[in-house]
Amino acid sequence: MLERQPRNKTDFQPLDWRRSDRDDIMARIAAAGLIGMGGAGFPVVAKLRSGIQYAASTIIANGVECEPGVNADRALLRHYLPDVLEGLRIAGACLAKPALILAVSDQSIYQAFVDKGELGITCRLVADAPSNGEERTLIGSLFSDEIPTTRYPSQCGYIVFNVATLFAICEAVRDGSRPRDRLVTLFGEETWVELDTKLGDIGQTGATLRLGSTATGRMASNDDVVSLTTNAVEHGIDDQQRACIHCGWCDAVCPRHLPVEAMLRQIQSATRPITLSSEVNACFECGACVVQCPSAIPLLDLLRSAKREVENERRKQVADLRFQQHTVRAAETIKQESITRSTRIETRRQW
Amino acid sequence: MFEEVVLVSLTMAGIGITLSGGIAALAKWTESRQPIDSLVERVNGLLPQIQCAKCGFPGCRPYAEAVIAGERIDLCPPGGSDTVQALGHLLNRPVDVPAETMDSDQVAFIDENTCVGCARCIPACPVDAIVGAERYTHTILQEHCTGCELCIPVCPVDCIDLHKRAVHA
Amino acid sequence: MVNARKQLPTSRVMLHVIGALIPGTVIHAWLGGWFSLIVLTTSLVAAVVTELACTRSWREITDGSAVVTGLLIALCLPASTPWYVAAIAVLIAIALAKHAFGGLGHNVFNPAMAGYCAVLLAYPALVVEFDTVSGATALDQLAHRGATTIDELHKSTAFGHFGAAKHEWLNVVFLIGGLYLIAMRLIPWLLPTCVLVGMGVVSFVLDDGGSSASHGSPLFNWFAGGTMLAAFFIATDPVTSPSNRNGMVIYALSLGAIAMLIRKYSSWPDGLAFAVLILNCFVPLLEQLPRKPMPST
Repeated sequence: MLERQPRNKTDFQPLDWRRSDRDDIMARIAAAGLIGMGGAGFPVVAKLRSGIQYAASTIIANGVECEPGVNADRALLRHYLPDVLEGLRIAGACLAKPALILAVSDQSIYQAFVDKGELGITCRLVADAPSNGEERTLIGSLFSDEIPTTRYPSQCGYIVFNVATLFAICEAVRDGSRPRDRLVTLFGEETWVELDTKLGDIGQTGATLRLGSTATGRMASNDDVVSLTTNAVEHGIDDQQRACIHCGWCDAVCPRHLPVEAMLRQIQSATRPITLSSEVNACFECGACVVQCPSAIPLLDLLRSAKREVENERRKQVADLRFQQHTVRAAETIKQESITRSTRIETRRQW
Repeated sequence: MFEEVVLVSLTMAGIGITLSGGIAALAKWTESRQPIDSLVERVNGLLPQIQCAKCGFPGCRPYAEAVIAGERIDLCPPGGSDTVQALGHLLNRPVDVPAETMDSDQVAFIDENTCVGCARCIPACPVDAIVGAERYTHTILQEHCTGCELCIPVCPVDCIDLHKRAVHA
Repeated sequence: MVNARKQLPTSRVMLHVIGALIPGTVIHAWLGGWFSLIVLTTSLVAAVVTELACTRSWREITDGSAVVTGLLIALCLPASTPWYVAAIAVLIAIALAKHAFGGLGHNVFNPAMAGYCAVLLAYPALVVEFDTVSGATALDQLAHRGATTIDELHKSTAFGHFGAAKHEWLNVVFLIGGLYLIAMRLIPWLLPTCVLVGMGVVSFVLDDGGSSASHGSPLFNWFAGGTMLAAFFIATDPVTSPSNRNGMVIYALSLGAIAMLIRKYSSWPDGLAFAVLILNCFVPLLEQLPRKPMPST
């Protein structure tokens, strides 16, 4: 299983990272254009620099994969664990002797690691529940440490890399190759997919394509492409949608304890504006509610569009306020100018 | 017995229809007694708040006041047909789709190599989004710029361009 | 994770509810005799036909909500009800109480209770609990008695030990069905518990130890009439009950208390249906109650 296109040539000279300078490793990672492959796409070099600046003491390899129906990271850990761990060591070489931690949510992977053991790397098992793989939640469950929303974890001593990112770091440094493909859960099956492949060329096309898992993916068309941040390509469940029966199951599973049902009610009603705006913005799109909903309502799509709407509404209000202030000030300036002018004329007459 | 059932059904239905008719009439009456101020706010809320003055009024709020006073509702190009439809629905006026529409998700950007610091664009900005002083290079606060294009014609060196607004993920 | 429930579509949820109701339906049919089967059949057929007429689509039938409504009405109506009255109840429930409000999920009132109460108020003479076994139920006896005490009721051979006229068996079966739904995590345990607590507290306060004015112990009231059916299957209707915890507690406690007050002080034998409809009016308000705050992260 897991067939991968062989590579004919390397993009760079392979680098012996154990004997290399930190700056050389960082330059190589920058040249390969690596970004976080967990979903957010944050540039790897920027994260490492921020970690160096704030003296981060811990690097976490995030193999906690809790999106329902996505197993790309699990498959990577099963088949390419040594490369992922080497990537973790390479990232560690950029910092001053950080603690290296591999966090996984899969019992069998954890067991396999523990049985073999790896010098200098600790493996931690995290409960397999929606949203546990989100980096702030992960740091919270591993170290009971709360990262304020205004700061990055790298500014608080923790660097979190998705395992796929570490794998790409390893290949870029050790083998000298740019990322050209990634492991994707393709309609339920883990497959290596070349980057920039159009979804229409993969097969199984349809009206309900999603870039990402069934629950959390964004609606996509045949022309969208697989990118570094694509962990899955799935079909949506839009065709099974029914009316909300207010069962409250979405509220019960929300890890942020957001009033999902009340938000849905506001989004679906014609009354505007949405007053639960801070709640809408607090959603971090884990998809737990979508999995629970018995009526197959695309809650995440609705919440995402509500986020845009809330942002637009806020922008409009600021613009309105600033325009009113501008009008008042412009009128005052004109008044002031006319006073200045008339005093000037009067002074001249006295002459 | 069966006649009784029919009679009771008809009575209940009659009471129901009378009461619901009353409620509908009451709702219509309260709707018609909206104070003018709140109506201006509602119209203003439907306008895109770009303050581009393309409607012929100095900004969105003045246009909203004019609309309440009887001005046409299809003068807002950035709002496009959606705004006209929303306004028509709110004010119960007939809707024609406007001829002109424009992309409203843009921001202005000053090319700092060309800007001579003349400060003419600063008072032109309806939302005070341009920072700078005479003889110093200006810049535009992307956060507050509405993309109204009002600064473009006043610039003597033509250093202002429109860009697509950057989306923060 | 607070809730370990697998993904379940609405139609499967309704199937579980119907399954939990089946034992109670069998007991009900056994108590009511052949007449109750006529009511049952009429209700179910009327439910499906009305739902089809209102939605004009086969897909909506498959969510099972119409069948549940029809079944609940059949379980509320006495066996002696004429078939056309049952049909009218279902028609009002589905066409008026559900689809006139915008269909499943948008109805303010519990459809089954709205339909049942409509015929109860419109045709009181035709919808009288008249048990073929004993002649009348214990709650009827209490509502229209001269000087019967609870003790005399208990001694009477027609009535059971703590309930009324084998109604306690019906209630026990519905209790088991309800516990099954709780075990499947399909209904919250808090809601039926609070209904029973609300009813229990009021009946305990009103219970004076068995005088002719007394209305029985909490135990008697829990197992009389339609208590368990209402607490586990009707009050828990997700559409017409609050989904937040605080609202749920207020809703359920008041429901039980009001039902008990109606039993005691009105001329109606049972008050659960009215109590459900009264509390339905307050659900939009109860939904506004504050809920668990967001964590600060």
